[in-house]
Amino acid sequence: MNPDCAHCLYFGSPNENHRPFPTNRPGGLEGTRRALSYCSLPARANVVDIACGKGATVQLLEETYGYNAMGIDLSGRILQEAKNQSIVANLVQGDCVHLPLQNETQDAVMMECAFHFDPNPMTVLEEMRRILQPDGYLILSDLYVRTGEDIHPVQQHSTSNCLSNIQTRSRIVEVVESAGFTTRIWADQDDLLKQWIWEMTFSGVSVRSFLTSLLGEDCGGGTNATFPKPVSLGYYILVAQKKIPIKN
Amino acid sequence: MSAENNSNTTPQWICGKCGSPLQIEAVNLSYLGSGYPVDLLVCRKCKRALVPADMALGKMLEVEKLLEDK
Repeated sequence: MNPDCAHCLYFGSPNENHRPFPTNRPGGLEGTRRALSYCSLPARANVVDIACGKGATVQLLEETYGYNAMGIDLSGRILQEAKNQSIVANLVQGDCVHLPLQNETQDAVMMECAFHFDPNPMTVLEEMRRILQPDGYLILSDLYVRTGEDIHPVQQHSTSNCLSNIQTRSRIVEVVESAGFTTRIWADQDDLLKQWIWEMTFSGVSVRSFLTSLLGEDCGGGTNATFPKPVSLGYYILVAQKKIPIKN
Repeated sequence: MSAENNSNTTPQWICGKCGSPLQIEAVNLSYLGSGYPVDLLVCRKCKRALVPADMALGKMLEVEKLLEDK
């Protein structure tokens, strides 16, 4: 987390009303259901949700799917909020690069709208791989840069905020595969992102000023500033499986 | 649409086409394949809705631009 980053400050605001995501992420639990529909998980599967927030996904996994679910979040404050609100879910404080789980114990690991937070995605993916069983599922959903395949236009405009970690589809797939996964599904979730724009705007949050503020001074700043033309964001669900090492 | 103003009450909007009073209803606003339900004043007879200027030039315009940017 970067204390100078508007993205982090919004997410970290102690006032729920100041957070930009009424449902925390595009699609909310509908996005989670879609992602799970791409997987064939066994009954009582061990599923861990990283960056779980107050545990809405963990509750869904437990109550609707009957999985043995656990949530991990870096923020002790958010977990305390969950506790204060009597949310019943197995939530633990932890860092995504040092997960408090044994090797090869999980059937699936999820990360929803948080992958772009970490500037070292390979480190995060390697840690996810460590806790996954062979053939275990990696489930990511997040923003990505739609424009061009081999450029990183957001990075060109800012180097000091979380949005600068948002990558193109080809780069995301490349890093996932390099970390030892086989990509099974890449599903564009354009409808969820559009719906999120409606929800955000009509709940009083200016998506434009929020995203513009993340792009730094180069784009002009302020609520009337426009995005640098090359930047176009999309939202994806990626499902991959841990590669089984070939024994000689 | 027109507004009738009694001195001590909120103006009552009247449908310009049929003269019926407008009532608040959830209206699904949609653009470029996505939409969102918003409470607006509606003529239940003519099914016409009144979109306030500040909403049209504020939130609706912002959504339009963002969806067009995509």
